[in-house]
Amino acid sequence: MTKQNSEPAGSPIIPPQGKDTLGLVETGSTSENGRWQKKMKVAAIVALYVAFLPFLLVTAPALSELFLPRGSAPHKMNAGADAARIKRLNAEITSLQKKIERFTPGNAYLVVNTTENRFALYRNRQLVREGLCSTGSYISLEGEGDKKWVFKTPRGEFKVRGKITDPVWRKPDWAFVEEGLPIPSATHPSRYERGVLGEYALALGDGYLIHGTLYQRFLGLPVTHGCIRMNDADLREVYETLPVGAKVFIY
Amino acid sequence: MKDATQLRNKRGWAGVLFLRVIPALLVTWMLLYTLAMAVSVRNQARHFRTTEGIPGDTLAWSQEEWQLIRDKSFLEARVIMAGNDSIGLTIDVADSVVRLENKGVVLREIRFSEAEISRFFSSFTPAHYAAAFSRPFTITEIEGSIVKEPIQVKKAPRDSTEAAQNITQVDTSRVEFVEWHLQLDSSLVVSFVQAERSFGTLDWPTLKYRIRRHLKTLEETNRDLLHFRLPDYKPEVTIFIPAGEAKSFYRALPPSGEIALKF
Repeated sequence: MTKQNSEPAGSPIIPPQGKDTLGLVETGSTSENGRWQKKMKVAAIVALYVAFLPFLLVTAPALSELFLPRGSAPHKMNAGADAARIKRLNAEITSLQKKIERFTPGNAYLVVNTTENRFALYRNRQLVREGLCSTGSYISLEGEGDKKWVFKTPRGEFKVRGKITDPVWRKPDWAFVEEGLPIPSATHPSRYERGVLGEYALALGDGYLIHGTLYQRFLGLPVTHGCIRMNDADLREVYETLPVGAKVFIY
Repeated sequence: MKDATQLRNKRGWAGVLFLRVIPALLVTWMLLYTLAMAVSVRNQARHFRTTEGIPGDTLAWSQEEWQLIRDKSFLEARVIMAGNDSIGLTIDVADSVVRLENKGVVLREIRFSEAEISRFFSSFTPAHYAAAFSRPFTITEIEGSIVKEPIQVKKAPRDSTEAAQNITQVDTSRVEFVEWHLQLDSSLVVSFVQAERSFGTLDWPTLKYRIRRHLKTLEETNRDLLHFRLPDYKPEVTIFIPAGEAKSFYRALPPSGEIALKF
């Protein structure tokens, strides 16, 4: 006796009454309950698809941390032994704190923030003045051939190498290139300009200066060619406070 | 009739695939992923606990001593960091202070009121905390939603007339959302997010940064799991500070700078 196949090859799969081929979707005369179950199942699957990546990124690491071994709990010690260890630790901490304090210069120093274009002047480890300044514009000027200048203020620790009153600006090559002018000889009179750097300048090395400006409305903005510009009153105080050799921290 | 049958069969297979097979695979993957991550977390914790020469958990500690050990470790790390020429960051999560330092000189100090800290950081024993945190960590990766150096390229003008026309203006109206992270050796991650939620709404560069960061994490962890390796677990601390400071700190830190941490 052979089993009779009621479905010829290629015929549609007929689900049991009230169900679709997956058993998920009720067909025919579906009850309210069946429709609700169907919606819940589809919603759960959609939620699974949506939550998959956030689960891997956030939930799985958070769940995993629950398996962490706990740190040791504080423990009551023999009072004498505990006190001795605490005394030793306190002595070590005091010594380390003194070491840290010695790193900060006792005399005057200047801190310049090139992102916010602000400065802070310190003397005897106390803040004595702070205000706006201007630092490098981050413009990369590309001249003819391979000539290229990047106008940024260098970061790190510097020293005041020299103090100048009534400074004269010796215009470098880029000043002419930027103005679309031909570059003159090194000693040409057109290289020298008076009164554009303010009353004072402090040299930091490599041609970088802290100086005054004619364009005080730009203070607080990154507009310079790498130097640090200040207004007249701030410049005077910085000039009078910082001796040659004083540290300038630029970040 | 035949076309209709084929269509129904196709629908049936698509339904089985999207409503049964793929969900089953996703759930299995989620379970495996969580399990592997849990093992990875324990391994990472063990890595911090198996530093040689540490007496381990045999010693007992009072709460006061624990605090002093944290203070001492932090100061030791700062002293070592001061010997380095580059600018570094010291993060005191316990006292909610971030400092930018150069050779031991505090350039900028910021107090923060909000931080999210992984539970991992509370799993240390004092001895192992001292071994791990009494030296500075080195930055292995630093990335953010803003550019590190906002360089603008400008061609030199041909003559003075063109120069007069090409005066560069500084755009002061642009507000950027500031968010960045740094990965340290020992797989620790420190993130900084601007504290002002309303200042500088989420912009495209920030979304791009977040997508890039999360995709990288997903790619690395899933690739490891596919190759039957444990995924990297990176405990993270997120600190919320003012946007201006977050930007300054990000731009000031060198790519392989050092960080001292205290929890």
